[in-house]
Amino acid sequence: MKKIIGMTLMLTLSTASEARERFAGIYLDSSIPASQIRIIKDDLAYLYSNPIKDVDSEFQSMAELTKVDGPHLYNWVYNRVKYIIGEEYKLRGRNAVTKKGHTFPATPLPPSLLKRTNRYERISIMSNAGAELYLTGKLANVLRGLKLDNKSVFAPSPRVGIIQVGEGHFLERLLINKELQSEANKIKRLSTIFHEARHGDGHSEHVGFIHSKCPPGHNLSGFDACEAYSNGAYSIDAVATKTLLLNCKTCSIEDKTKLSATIADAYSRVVVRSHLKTEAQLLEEMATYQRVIDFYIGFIAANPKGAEASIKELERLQKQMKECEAQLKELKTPVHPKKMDAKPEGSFEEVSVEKSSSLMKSSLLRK
Amino acid sequence: MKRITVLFLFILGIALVSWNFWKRDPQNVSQDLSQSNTSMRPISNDSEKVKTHEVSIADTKIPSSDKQNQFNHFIKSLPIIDDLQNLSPEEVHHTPEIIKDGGELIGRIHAEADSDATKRVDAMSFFKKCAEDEQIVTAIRAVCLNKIYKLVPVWKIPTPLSDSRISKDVLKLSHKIP
Ligand SMILES: [Zn+2]
Repeated sequence: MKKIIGMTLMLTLSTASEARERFAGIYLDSSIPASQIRIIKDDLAYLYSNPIKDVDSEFQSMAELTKVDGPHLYNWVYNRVKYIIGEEYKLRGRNAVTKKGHTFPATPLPPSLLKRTNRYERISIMSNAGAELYLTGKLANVLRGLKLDNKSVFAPSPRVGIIQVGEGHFLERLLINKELQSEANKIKRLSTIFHEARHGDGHSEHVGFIHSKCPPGHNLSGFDACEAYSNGAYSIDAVATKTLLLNCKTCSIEDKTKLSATIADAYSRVVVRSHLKTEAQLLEEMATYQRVIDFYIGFIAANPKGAEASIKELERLQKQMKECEAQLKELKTPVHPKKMDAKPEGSFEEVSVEKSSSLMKSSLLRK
Repeated sequence: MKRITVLFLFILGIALVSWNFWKRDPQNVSQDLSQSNTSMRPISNDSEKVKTHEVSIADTKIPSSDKQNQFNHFIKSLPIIDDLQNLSPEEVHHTPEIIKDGGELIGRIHAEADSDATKRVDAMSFFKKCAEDEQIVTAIRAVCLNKIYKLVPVWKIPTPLSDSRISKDVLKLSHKIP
């Protein structure tokens, strides 16, 4: 009997320590450690209460905001973030739910999604799990979802708003300074939320504003860490950081510079060209290739026997040469990142700023 | 006799090591800067000499050469393009740690020179070196170029740049930073 009472008590206690909760309308899953929940709540409250005075000129049009102030910024986030789950939450197995017979919009999927080889199995900072569920579901023609908040939450749109947060989001070495609750660190974490939230937007070939491969010549060449849009996740990340930084009251020179490096990094991911070389660099490269090609042509002609390796090398050089020529042609045509229609596909609910503000206010009163 | 010689050499060795240790100024922030960036590219041995170099006001009046400049050896601690290529897809989705560390280093040099005017020529020379170094990550070069544009009129230190070494991308990015 004593054993049963003891076990019941232990079970009750363990359930109590994993209490899930809601803050400003956002469901915070029990898989998020309590210390992280506190930070998330404080960050969202900081955003809502921010008396924004200086705004980056691009922010309003890029995020399609009627006004750039705390309540409107929180509303933008709330419309894209409804559930936050922790790193420990398993997206597969018992938590995964599916429903057959759902009709997805008859729009094409992004070509990069079809070619994608790597899926982020392990999250380090943050990822938009909802958008991923929608995209993989649409690809397999199965409505996918997760068990959350004692119910099945399906993803009939990338806007379902399920965000998974990793330990990296709170790690001192990945933040701006040692004070976890400093303004600079709040800005960094919020900019990541803006980035992930943007993955819930877009339709057709730019659904989820998913990243594309960084082109040859780019610092991150080969990684799926770039975008060809002027209003994608990296752009939103950059302008949100910039606006919050412009209004930071306690940021030191070091904080400002470190945040500036993240802004420059985010902007550097917005690339349209397939390369970043100058015309002079390309011409120089082509001249070099031509000299070596000429040598091999003469060498192969003079030594036709046993020239297999040389022929192979000649083919490789000719391929490089063609790539340079194509890049040069592209360079001479001016291209700019395109602003895409951010309207998400599928079914979702748009919440008014009055509603999200009232949810925040009642949470702040309870705090 | 042999024992005495060995003992003497041992004491001499200890004395030299201690002298080397104590002659360093613990207040030297440059030294702190190097300690905070252990995860980055190794700093060459000659940088040790630079670290302990004392900067006088007279030094700042003339453009510092590489050896005299107390900050230039930190260039080796800034992330290069190859460093990024060695990261995992998860590490590059959001701004990698090495870029943030690079930003922090630049910020600390700026802050140090901001509070000590004698260090401004060296800081400016460091920003120039960083902005013009084609191996360094573009975002970091842009931060350095932004510092030059912001600080030249404030610190009143002429810092001519080599146009051919500043790519359009670095220039464009530098203007996007607040
Ligand atoms: Zn992303």
